[in-house]
Amino acid sequence: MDNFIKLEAQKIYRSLFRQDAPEIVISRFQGISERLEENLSLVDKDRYYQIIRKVNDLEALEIACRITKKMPLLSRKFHAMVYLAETLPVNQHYFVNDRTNFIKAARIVFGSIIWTGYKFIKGIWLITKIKGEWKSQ
Amino acid sequence: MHQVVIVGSGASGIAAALEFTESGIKPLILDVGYTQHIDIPQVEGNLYDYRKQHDTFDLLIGKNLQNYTNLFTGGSVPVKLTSPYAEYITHGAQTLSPIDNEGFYAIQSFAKGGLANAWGAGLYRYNDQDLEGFPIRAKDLNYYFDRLTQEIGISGDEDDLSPFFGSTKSLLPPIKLSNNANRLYQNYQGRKGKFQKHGFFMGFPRVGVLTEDRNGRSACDYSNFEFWKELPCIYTPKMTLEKLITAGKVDYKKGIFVEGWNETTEGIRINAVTVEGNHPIHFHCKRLVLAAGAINTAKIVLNTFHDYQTHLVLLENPALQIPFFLPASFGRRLDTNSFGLVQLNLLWESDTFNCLLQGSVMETTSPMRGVFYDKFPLAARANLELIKYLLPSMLIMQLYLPASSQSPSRLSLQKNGRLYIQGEPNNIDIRKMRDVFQLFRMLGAWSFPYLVFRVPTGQAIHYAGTLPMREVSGRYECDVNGKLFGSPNVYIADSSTFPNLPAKNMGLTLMANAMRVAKQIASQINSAG
Repeated sequence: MDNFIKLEAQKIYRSLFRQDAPEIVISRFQGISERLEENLSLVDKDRYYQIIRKVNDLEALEIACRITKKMPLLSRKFHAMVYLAETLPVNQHYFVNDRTNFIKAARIVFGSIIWTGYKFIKGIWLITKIKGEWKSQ
Repeated sequence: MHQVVIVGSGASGIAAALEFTESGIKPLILDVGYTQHIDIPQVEGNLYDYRKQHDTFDLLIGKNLQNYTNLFTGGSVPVKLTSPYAEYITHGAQTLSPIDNEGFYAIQSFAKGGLANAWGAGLYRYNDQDLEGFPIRAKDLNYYFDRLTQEIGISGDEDDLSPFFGSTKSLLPPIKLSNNANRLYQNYQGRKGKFQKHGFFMGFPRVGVLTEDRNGRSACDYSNFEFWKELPCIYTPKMTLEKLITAGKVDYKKGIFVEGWNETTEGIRINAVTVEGNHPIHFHCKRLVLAAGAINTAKIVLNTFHDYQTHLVLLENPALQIPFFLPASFGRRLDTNSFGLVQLNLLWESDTFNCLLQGSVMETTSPMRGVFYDKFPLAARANLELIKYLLPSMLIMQLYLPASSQSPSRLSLQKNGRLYIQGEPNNIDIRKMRDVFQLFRMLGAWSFPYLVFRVPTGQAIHYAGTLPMREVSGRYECDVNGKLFGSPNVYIADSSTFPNLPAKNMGLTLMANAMRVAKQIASQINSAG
């Protein structure tokens, strides 16, 4: 398997679920990833994987890219991974709330907004850093 | 020589066939007739129970990655059509009848039973107001509406929408509302006078969904499998077709792609090709009934006359998708025992749009949860939290406008045999929706203009008007009985003949009209001996 895709799958999965991706998810992700990259030139693909290799916090990079309309491929790959993860029984609790609890839901949604703010600022910093490094090369 | 040949096995073709058989005529149905060709896991019980115990990759995404269609293409094909189960419904369309689109995203079906295999089964009677511009009135259709209600098994109720939806005769009890929909409906009931003063009416939908066991079909079990397998409780015309084939009342020939016809004094010669091998094949009949859908019926007609100049009008309902959040449901567990399609209907006599609009309020429980991931604006992990904790308190309304709300699309045939359709982008002014947002706030549901999604032109999949019926017909028009101008033995039975398209879903009316057309033909045949 292409090591870059494996690394990417692991990083995206960890960003979403804070744990290593099961082998079945990684192997399924490979075919999907290739389809998503079909229209990418070799140069862009190389650049994309350089970024994936360098950046550890892909969640921060993704939200910053999504808001600033850069690198849409990364957002699509996150979405693709969400689909894949949803098909595993072990992940159902990430998608389905089976207990009514207003306080918990309010706390989590409020926390999610704060979390997004933090990740966005970090993501912008990451984008600036990557741009700076490329300029200096 | 067949007495009658019907082209197409969609809702109108099957309704016409049903009427012919009632009149003692055995029609031949010509159809491409694709059926399910991939292995879909056989699933029982409830979707969410099943998901807890099984890897659902094959069920929800599919070996051919069908559910990634929109992610791969950047398109917005209706989610139901991207389910692996539904792949056969649009299978082969681009090969059999390719379309060059400009601003129109056509969805075609060559499946046995047509696009109705994926419909929401909303089945509404057009009334005289809806039939404005038609050369027929509701009284011409009422008899067929009643018969179809019996045949299909339509659920609904006597409520505030009855004046719009017509007779409640033979209706089955309405579907059980989800928690969210029930909350909305109770709030409406509490202040309905105020809503009605603003022209808003809410009630149960009329859907072809069984709420009681009937004729060997089991009632809705609220399993949320609506997107993932064929449910016997949801009527599709294919059910009637199978019944007629089994009873030997129709001849059904699949694998046939009809291209045109020649009309002579002896009758009609139908020119077709076999889907396997593309070999020319001919059929002969006295009367030809085209029911291949507004797009493909128009193509057959244009191809017959080798007309590469004419641009026919193609109508479609502009539509908006509006998500709503119910604060009172916030934090609730996901309602895993609900009906995944239309829960409630809203009718809006709008002064702003100067017409009647129809909204279908839907639950979000049937699609994959991941479908909603990119609808939220937060970071990846935060969006997952919103799917879990916010989405169960949300509903989505699909709001349809009459086709007259925007310029019609145009359809023509090119010399290379491909259709060309030019459409106007969906440019409904969202600011005009302010009244809807205010109304929903009064109902305890919140939404915002930036959340509204304009359904791309062509993807509301309500196509009509290519060969409209007129009191006095001209070229590429039909008479009141569906007879195509200049072709004395060719009839159009599908929505091509609708000169207008009101906001109300046309499914039941196109079936009733097809029966009306078939009845006229059958009367002529029978009176001729």
